[in-house]
Amino acid sequence: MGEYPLILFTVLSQLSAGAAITLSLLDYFTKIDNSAGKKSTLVVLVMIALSLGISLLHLGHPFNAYRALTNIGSSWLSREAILFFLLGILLLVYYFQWKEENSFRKSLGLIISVVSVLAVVSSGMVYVLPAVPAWNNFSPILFFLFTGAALGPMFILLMLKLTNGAFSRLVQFTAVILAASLMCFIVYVSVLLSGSGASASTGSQIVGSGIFWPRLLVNWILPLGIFAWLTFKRISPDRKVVCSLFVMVFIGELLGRYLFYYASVALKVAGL
Amino acid sequence: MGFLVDAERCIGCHACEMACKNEYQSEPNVRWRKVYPINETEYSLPERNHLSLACNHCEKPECLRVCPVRAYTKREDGIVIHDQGRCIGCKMCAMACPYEVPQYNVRLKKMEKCNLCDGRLDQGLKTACEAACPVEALSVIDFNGFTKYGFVIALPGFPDPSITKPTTRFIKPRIGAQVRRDQ
Amino acid sequence: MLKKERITRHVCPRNCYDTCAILAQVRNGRIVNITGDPAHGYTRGKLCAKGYSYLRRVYSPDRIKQPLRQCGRGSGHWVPVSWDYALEMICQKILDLKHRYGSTLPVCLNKYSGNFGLLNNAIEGLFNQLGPTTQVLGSPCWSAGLDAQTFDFGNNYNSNPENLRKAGLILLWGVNPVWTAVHSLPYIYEAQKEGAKVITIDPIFSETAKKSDLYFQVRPGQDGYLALALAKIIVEAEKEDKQFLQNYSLGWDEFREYLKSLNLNKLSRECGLNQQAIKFLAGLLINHSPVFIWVGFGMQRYANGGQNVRAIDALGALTGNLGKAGGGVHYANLRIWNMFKFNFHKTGYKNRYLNINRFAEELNQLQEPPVKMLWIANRNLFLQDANLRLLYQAIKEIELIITIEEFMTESTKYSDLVLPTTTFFEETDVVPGYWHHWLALNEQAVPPLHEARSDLDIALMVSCKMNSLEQGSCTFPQSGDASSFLDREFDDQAYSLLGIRHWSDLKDSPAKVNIPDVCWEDRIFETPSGKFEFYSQRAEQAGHPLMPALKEQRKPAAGKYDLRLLSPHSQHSINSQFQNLDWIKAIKPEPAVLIHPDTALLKSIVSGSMVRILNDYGEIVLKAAVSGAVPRDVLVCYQGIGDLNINRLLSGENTDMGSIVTGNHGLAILDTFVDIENQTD
Ligand code: SF4
Ligand code: SF4
Ligand code: SF4
Ligand code: SF4
Repeated sequence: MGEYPLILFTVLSQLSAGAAITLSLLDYFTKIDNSAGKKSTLVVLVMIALSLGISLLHLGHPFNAYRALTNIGSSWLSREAILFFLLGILLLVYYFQWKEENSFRKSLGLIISVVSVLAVVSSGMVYVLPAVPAWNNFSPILFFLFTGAALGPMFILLMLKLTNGAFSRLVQFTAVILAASLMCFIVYVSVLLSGSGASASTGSQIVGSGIFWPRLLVNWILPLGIFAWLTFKRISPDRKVVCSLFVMVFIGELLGRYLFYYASVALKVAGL
Repeated sequence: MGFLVDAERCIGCHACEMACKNEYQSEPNVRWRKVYPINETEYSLPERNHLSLACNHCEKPECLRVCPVRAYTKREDGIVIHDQGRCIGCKMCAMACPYEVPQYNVRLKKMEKCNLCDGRLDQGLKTACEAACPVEALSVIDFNGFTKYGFVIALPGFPDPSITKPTTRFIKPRIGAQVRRDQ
Repeated sequence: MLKKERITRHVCPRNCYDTCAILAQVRNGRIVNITGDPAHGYTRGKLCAKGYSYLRRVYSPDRIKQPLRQCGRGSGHWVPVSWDYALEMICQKILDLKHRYGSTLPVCLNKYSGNFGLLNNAIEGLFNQLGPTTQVLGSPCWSAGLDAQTFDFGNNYNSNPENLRKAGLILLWGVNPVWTAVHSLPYIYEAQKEGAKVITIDPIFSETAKKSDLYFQVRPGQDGYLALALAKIIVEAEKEDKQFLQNYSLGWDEFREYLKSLNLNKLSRECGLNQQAIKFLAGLLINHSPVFIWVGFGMQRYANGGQNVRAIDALGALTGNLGKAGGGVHYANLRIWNMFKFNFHKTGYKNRYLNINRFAEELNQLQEPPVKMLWIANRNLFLQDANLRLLYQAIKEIELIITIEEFMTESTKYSDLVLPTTTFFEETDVVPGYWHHWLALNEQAVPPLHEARSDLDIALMVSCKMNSLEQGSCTFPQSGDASSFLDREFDDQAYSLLGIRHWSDLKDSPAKVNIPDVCWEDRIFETPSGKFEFYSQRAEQAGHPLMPALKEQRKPAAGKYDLRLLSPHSQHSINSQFQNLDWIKAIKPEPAVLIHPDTALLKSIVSGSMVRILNDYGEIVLKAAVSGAVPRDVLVCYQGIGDLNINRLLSGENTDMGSIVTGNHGLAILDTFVDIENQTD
């Protein structure tokens, strides 16, 4: 099965975290329809539960996974698990708060946002390992955050069936995030390639892999191209466009995550 | 406690590795100790050097840091013990160890690694690998009160020791002279 | 439950220099651990990697569990049959052939040394009692060197190799003990610590070369030229041991004249080393004493292999190193094996013997009567024989092929019937050393696993069946066991050499055989003249030059197949054995052919390229590994590379010598010439 559960888990959980943040901030700053908010919360909650469930598939002994919560002292994996678990619980509480005006819900939303960020950061920290030079920097955190930021707003936008000004602002935000992540990715790969040893071989693994160009295409080039074209033609995107953009970026992120796991070269004894 | 690998004496025979397997009857692809033939290009002349490595019982064990279930403990004497009972097989440690030490047992779906023959040591026996080495190239040394010099902390091919501070020490191989054919 | 635990003694029977003694810890009828036996003075409680893998062999899920019949050779369609069925099939066939051809000559045995215990020879005993049969004679391994030393010294003795530690200079000549005799290393290291220089002479920069102070790269098969060049330089410097030469050698004057007549330039060109290097090495030989020369088997697997060894013997003699503790020229020791009379082998019949090294060829030519049944024992014939194409052809006419095996191999593929046999933990036997001076016992630690039977038991069972089908058709014993056979093999002389009263005393400890610790110490040689013979009439009678003289090397046909393929023993298998075990597979490097960087460049090959190695006999495809350890004109492919059958490329040419000691000339395995092509273009 390899790392597939991890690919799915990380992308889904980051999408959910991004969605949770978007939802709670929208709720805090704007007005959201109660039932739509409730439904969205439920979906996000289910996605988090699902992604946690998928992550268990990665374990040799999924039924003993509860033990993974015991080393928050030093293990980022423990912290990650705790934070996502906590996020799930908070969302559950949040779910039951969708009744008219509710300031507790709004404050809770802020807490959820913070926990979501922390959860994604801790997800990234899991991979900050000196043994894997390509990961041993802030890139895992950065790219994980980008994943959440690129997918979450679009997801919520679609869920809430937004149409107003928030819609176009979120779309613009997504475009900016995509552009930023593309730039970071280019810088990251160039730095790797110009390095030596395990970093350089990670770099060439990424570029040399058959997935590199497809990923570039669906994750960035196509979506950004569409954005540019729409802006140029002064057409405001509709739901259909956003929906297809979302699918593209989602697939792009999955491909990217695949590369993340399979292309990174760990330190090892220089044997034959 | 840690291993002293005398690369000057080591002949790369793999007896240590196989003796470890024999002692623990481990799964075919699980290698607690591995003897690595080192790439020729790591030395200036085409050399045939080897490194016999098992867990380095590091001073800053990454395995221990990342394990979410605290399956790793470091004993008073420095031995890094992996408790298979606690392990849930998340493979974090394998990712984090720079020396490919923790090995995944596909049958048990758990990790395992060299525990420095803790059971044998506690009985006053030598480790199985040390006992098997035909040329006494491998030994376990106690760092407390150790005053001998001439050891190095890495040899060509050994990943950066600054990450985990392995306790393994090496004696450098001597390079003999080669007279090649004139053709 | 009561825990029953005992320790049993064992010895590895794999035809290996070290022939290690092993202790097995047996608990409740299962071996739970093995270690080296510290009571063995040479192997001293250590095993090699192969040795430590033995439990995996015994308890391997891949063991053949019962007799198997293959419906259609090569079909892989195996049907388990009972022993009785198998025996019936064999004996009926023998009797049928006997009646059809009026003799048992169509029944053929091809046996070699995969199990090197005394009683593992039982099948040969069985064949010798069936009537005149067809058998193979000779050895693919060491024949030329054995003859060479027989001409020079009169016999094949060595000093106790522990004497290595007393050497002042150790010449590891064409031998790779780091891979093939790890237990000698402590002695070599000891000598080194005392100031001895260790020198490896080899075409390949081997792991042994790596461990040496100095490495000299010699042209493959041209070792004799180097020896003669060294001899010439030493004699010119008048540093020869005149006293030894005068009193204990025959033909010195002639040999000296002969050396004088040689041209150093030519010698240097032939051996590939420049004169300065040779002079330097000669200087070391002059200034260090004693000089222990270990002559490997590799250098005699050439068309002039025997002459190579004779030249080195001469070098050892004229430097006065023979008979010295820590000195001498050491090749192999037959003394311990010769202790046994092989009573169970005796035959009253006139067998028809085929040259083991021309087996396929001679099998094809045999008529009146042709061979119709082939029994393969103690060997993986279809992987280890030469000229395999011819062999595939020869077996077409054979009606029944039987193989005794522990595992399915390349040879079982071509068999009709496979008989499962025991590992040495399941049988009783003794195994003598041919390098160290020890003899050790295999106790039966556990009963035979599955339906496996020892070679001896199989021989006994066949004899029973033969007699039940036709009374008197086989005179091999029908009853008895290992103990009774061993009782007959050990006589008083053997016991006095071993210093024991009964072979079962070996259960307490392996025995060091009481033979001279230093061979030829009294400088009385077993040659006709009683002296070391530079000049050997016996050699001449056998059709060789009187003195070590080197023939032109066998060369490749011009412009074609101009790379020599060397196939030395690999580190983790002994011939084809061990390589099937998953434990060994895990540590064994991927099969690859080593190629010099320059040659690789010329052929646009890089490490990892798939390449085809080919000549007129066959081809194999495998990965290339570029390595500075091998010379430009040589490819190296260690043997024992799984199903890649490197012997397909062997021509089956023979060595110059071998017929005196082993009955036939050896196999010039290393005179193999090939081309290499990048498979990807
Ligand atoms: S047993 Fe000793 S010589 Fe052999 S590989 Fe291990 S450490 Fe090296
Ligand atoms: S070598 Fe690896 S497994 Fe062993 S203590 Fe160090 S980090 Fe942990
Ligand atoms: S695989 Fe086992 S020992 Fe390794 S980090 Fe995971 S739980 Fe800990
Ligand atoms: S100390 Fe024990 S467990 Fe560790 S490698 Fe050596 S034999 Fe194996």
